[in-house]
Amino acid sequence: MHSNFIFGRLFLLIVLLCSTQVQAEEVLRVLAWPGYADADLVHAFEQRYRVRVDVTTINLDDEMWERLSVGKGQDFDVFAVNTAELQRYIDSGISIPINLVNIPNTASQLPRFRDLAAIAGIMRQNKVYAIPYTYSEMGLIYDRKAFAVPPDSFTIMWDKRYKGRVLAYQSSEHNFSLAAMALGLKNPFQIPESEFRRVSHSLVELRRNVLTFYSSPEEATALFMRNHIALLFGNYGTQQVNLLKKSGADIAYVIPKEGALAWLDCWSVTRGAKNPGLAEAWINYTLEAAVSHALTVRQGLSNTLEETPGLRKTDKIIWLQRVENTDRRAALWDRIIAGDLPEKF
Amino acid sequence: MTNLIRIQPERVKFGIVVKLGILLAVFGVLAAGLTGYYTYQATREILVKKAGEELVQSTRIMGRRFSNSADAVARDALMFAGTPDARDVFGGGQTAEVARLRMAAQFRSLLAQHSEYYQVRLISAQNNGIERVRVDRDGSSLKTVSGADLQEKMQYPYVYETLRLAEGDVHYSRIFINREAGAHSGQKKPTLQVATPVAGPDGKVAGVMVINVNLNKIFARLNADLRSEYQLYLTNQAGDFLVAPDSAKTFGFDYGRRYLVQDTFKPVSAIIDKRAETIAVRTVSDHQAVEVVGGFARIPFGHMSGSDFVIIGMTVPLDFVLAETAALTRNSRHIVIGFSLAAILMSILVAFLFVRPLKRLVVAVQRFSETRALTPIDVDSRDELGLLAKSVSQMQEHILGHLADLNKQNKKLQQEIAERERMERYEQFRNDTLELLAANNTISVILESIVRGVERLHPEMLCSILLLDKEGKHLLKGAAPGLPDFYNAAIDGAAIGMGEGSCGTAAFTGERVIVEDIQTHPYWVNYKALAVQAGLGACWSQPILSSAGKVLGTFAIYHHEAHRPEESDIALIEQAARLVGIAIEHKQAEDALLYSEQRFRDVSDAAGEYLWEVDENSVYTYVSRRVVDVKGYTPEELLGQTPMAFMPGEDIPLVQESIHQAIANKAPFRLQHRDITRSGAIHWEEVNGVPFYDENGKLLGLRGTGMNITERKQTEEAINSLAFYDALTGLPNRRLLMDRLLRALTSSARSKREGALLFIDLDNFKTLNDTLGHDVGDLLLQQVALRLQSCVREGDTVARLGGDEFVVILEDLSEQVMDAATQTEMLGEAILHALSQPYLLGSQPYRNTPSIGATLFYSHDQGPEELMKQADIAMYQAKKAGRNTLRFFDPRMQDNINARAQLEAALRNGLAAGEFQLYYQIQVDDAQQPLGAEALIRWIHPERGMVLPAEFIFLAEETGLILPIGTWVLETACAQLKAWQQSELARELVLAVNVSAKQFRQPDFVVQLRELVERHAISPALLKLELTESLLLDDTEETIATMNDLSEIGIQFSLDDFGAGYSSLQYIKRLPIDQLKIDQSFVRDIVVDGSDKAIVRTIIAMAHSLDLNVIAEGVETEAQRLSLLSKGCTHYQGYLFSKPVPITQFDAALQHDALKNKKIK
Repeated sequence: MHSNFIFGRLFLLIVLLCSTQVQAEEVLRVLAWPGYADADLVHAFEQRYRVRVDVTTINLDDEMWERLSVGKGQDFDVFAVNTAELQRYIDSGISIPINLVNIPNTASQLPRFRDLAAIAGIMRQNKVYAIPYTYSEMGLIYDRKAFAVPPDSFTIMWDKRYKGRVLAYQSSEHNFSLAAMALGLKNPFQIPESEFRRVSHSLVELRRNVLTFYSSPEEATALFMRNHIALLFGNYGTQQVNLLKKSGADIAYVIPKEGALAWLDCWSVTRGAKNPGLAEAWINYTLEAAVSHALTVRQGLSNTLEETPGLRKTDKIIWLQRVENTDRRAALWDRIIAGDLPEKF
Repeated sequence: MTNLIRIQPERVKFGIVVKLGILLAVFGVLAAGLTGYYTYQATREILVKKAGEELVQSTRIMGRRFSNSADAVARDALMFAGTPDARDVFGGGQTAEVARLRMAAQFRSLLAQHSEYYQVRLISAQNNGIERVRVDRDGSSLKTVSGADLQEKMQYPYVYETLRLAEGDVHYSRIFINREAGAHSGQKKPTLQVATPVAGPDGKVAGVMVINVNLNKIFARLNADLRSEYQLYLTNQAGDFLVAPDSAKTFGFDYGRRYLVQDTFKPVSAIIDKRAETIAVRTVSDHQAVEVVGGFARIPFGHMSGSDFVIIGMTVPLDFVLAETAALTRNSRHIVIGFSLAAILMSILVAFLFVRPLKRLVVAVQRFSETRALTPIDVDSRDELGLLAKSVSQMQEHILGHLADLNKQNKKLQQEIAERERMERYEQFRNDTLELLAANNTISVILESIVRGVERLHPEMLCSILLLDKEGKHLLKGAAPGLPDFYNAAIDGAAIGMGEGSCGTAAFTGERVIVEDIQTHPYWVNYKALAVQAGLGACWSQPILSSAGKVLGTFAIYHHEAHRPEESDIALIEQAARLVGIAIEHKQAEDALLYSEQRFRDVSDAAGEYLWEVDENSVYTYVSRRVVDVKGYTPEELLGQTPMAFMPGEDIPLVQESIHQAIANKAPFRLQHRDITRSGAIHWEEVNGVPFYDENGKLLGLRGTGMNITERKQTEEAINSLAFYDALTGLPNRRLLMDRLLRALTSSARSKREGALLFIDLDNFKTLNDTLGHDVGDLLLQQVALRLQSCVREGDTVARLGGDEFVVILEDLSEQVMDAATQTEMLGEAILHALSQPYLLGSQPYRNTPSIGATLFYSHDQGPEELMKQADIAMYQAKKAGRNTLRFFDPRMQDNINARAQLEAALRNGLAAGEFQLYYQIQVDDAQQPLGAEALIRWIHPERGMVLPAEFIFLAEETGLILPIGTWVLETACAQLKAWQQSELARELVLAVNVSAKQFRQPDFVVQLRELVERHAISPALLKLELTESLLLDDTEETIATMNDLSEIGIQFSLDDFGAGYSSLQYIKRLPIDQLKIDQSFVRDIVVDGSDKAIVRTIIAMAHSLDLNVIAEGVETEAQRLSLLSKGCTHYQGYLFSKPVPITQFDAALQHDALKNKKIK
């Protein structure tokens, strides 16, 4: 009798241990950019929902595509992607529609982010595929000592006077859009067939004029400080400006007359999500005032709840859109960056 | 009986020999085992430690080999860079062409020799870093790239960084995954690029020699010499795995993940933090999930500066290291087994010797236990065992003696127990009977149960109960379930009398009759045959007596044979008869009660009442059916609830009060209250009740009747309303008015607050009635009533005296008579205004005006009638004064009101005529240097002369004139500040301006001030607004918001009269206040009054702790100034420095003081 009792208790204990083990096994797999899911904020979410969150960070759009397309989205539950990039994820079925009911915090977003139909690429057939989280425009950063008058056009990046003192960003899509803008094409996201050669040549010229192409804001800052850089394409916008200033660089930031490309990063749920409700709970959590505000304070990124001070009213902002052919731009870019001569295009 | 203490002998299951043997053996085996285990573990630890050290050493060597491999690449690069062909490649013409071909050939042979190289190139410093010579490994073949396929590489760090180096220096790239597009097999492989500058024909750096190395190949070579149990690791200086057994964990950073060596092997962080060169680790490897030991070492690598490094590590499973300990394990095991066997043998021997005499003792005791026979015990040793044997013998003898005694006692006990059991059974029977009684059973059930109870106690008996009829002549059947039916039927109704059987005789005589043998007894002559037929031999009968000694019946016990009763039988029959007596009497009383209750219920039903009872918590315990007619609920719905649950809330206090009174006085009560019935309708109910108590006087509850009086109540109310209200307007009539007035007078006398009576008469009402008829006149009166009611405050009374006369009673006015008069006048004005607005009578617009007479309660010695007369007289004065006006009965009051009206007119006039001036009183610091001034308003009246603010500000506030006056003050102050800007002496003076609450609360106050400051182009910091505490206390949030907005403009705040009012630190902390101004009442007595001194000290300390500036006003003497200074207050204002003066004097004094100071200097 006695030993049965003890055995019973032991059994109960084991069962309990196992069951908590099982509960603790639920995992939310987040694929996001550095600073989107800081450990303390993730920890708070884990506590609240009694789950484990695995955060994977990427530094490049193409890297994200690689990570998600390899497993058809099975390896992640929720990811942060800009509106333009989002399109290929919807096309390939990796991104699935979101149930807005589960994200009540959208009610506190600024009106322009609540009107999802007005943001190109977020909705399809009346279904919402992503929730805006943060945005940043890509202006031009320049060394104030190198310019008496602030540069007012992206074409300055091609200016031979600054050869070897320009930093550009390592991205196939943005660089084609940038070159198209600099060349004065009407729609930088839809380069006509007849113009591809001209744009490719322009990018070869850009390659010849830059010191190198950077990937992360930290790398850009290190390169800037070491190599007497005069101009920097600010792919990370104000975030990058803050980082440079913190490192002691005497720089300023302008939106050139061509206008600045701007990405709008949104959260989207993958079709591989084991528990879409949990993924949506995560999205809702990031739209809490404290979490969104932390993003702005720590990363210098604009959030969707508070107005961003500093942008001039006249500055032209061009929300990123899907481009005519991602693969083509990527294939061409691989050759351009590797150093192919212009006559090969 | 002896069984009780006899112990059954048992076979010994495990004897002491076995137990002792096992115990000793276990101990011996454990000791041997533990010693063996400890020796084994200690040796093992030493071996593991040694293995760790050896692995560190091996890792160091491995690191050196890795460095050597990198150095070998560098040597190759340097060697080629230094050749004349390499130089010539960067020249021109034919020579360069030839050099390129030769270099390409040499590169091919280099690639052929080194399978780890996959690309060798010469890159020009010119032409955007165009490749000049390039050979790629492309699958298994080598490919020389040339012509248009050569690429420009200046954008890569291995080119632009290397070009900055001096000849002979080497650039090592980071170890990374190569993604550079090109026809080579290094794509997506871990790569190390080794580059060195190449000089051109002119001796200057003209290009770069680059060798791309596949790191996997290098490591495959390092690994080749190792046994397969060894695992190799390489990480960069941040700890990212570059080479690891699990290749999925390498180069995590390349796709955004971090797989760090210090996460798997914690101690390695010491190398990363540069606290150690090498480190040994022992952990569970997550790759193999086995325990491993290993060593990690820092290997300088990369830049010449030496600050860069990589970490190389090697691990091996612990089991592999410990393979050598197998022999040790075997030996330990043998030794342990040997020692254990010896220990077991020894243990058995010891146990056997020790236990033999014990066994003999056991045998003897067992035999005693089985046979109760004494056996001599064959143990005569002189130790403890011998003593034990002797004691056992003695004990056996004692036990035998005790057993005999016990048997005797036991027998006696048995008898006592049997007796007690019988008693208990009777008690039980008696209690059962009483319970039956209490449970309201019918008498026949109870009697039958008594009979059966006795028969159960004594199965040999048969019992019968017979009851005496009402005439007391015959016996009727009570209960006799054990007797045959024919017998019972035969004796039912038998007459009583001497010799009429046992029962008939007992009932007749009232004495017990014992018939031992029916067949021979003379009483039974008539019934002998019947008894034979029923098989009855003996009959004892006991009369059943009431408490008053009256015979109620008989209780009889029969036996089948002739039988003589014992003493206990007599007791039984007596007890049984007594019990039946109690039961019969109880039943009779109960029936009487039920009858009485029913009678009462019928009577109350007939009277339309219901009956109720509540417990001491006012919870219904009983309600009669009739309650449905009153409350609309059934008794079932009401039970368990309180009556209060069905009343409107406002009736409950009165009901509770009545009940408390009734309980306190132990007296009946009567009250009326309303009920909310099930349908929601309100019924009036009249309740009569009385509290009731138990014999100790403890309250049990209340009971009484209730009755629906709704109809009666409605009739009463209608009558009441006719008596007290005016039917036309619904206002109170004269009768109610007088009653209210009396009440108002009493309450005013008690509260000391003033009240007033207004007598209102409509002008020309008679004309209206005469021309348009009474119907139209009535319409007007109704509308007047409505307008009057809308003018007065809650709690005031409006009444109609009759005709066109109305009266208003105002209560709760100010304690000050003059203030109360003002309040009355204002309300009177409001009534004049309201009643003068056009009326719509039918479709006709119509205008009318009233005349109002007013009087105050103030002397409190007039009665209501007297007051009415005064108000009436005042009303006639108003009529005389031209109608549509208000007159006070008291001429002084009238004068006062008139004076006020004049002052108001003069004030308006004065504002328009520019009769106001600002005076300035200087504020100085402790060195008597001017800091600023407070602007104070003065009214210079052409006739009255100078009027101080105290005389007109209150009126200005009441009439709203304070707004234009306040605006004028601010305007003038700002103009003055502007004027001061021209003077060097006054440029920095701050001007303090008092702001009233009304002014401050204007919605556009902030806008006004911003506009003022901008228009005058003055620094807002020079303008200081003085606010009073009372202003801050009302509407705090709004106030704070306004203050914050003003503070944002730059305007300062001083808190005026500080200390005189109710100051909450909480507010002050939240307000953007710059300065506290100590009220002059404290300053006045600061030198003499201790408490003032303490208050001032506290204010100053508090101000300092809140970082506020403090200024004292009303400083008149040097002693006051010194006292303030000693407490830390350094800013002052008061007559000691200057009284308030016009601006010309102020400026002149400023000049004068400045001159004086200059001279002193």
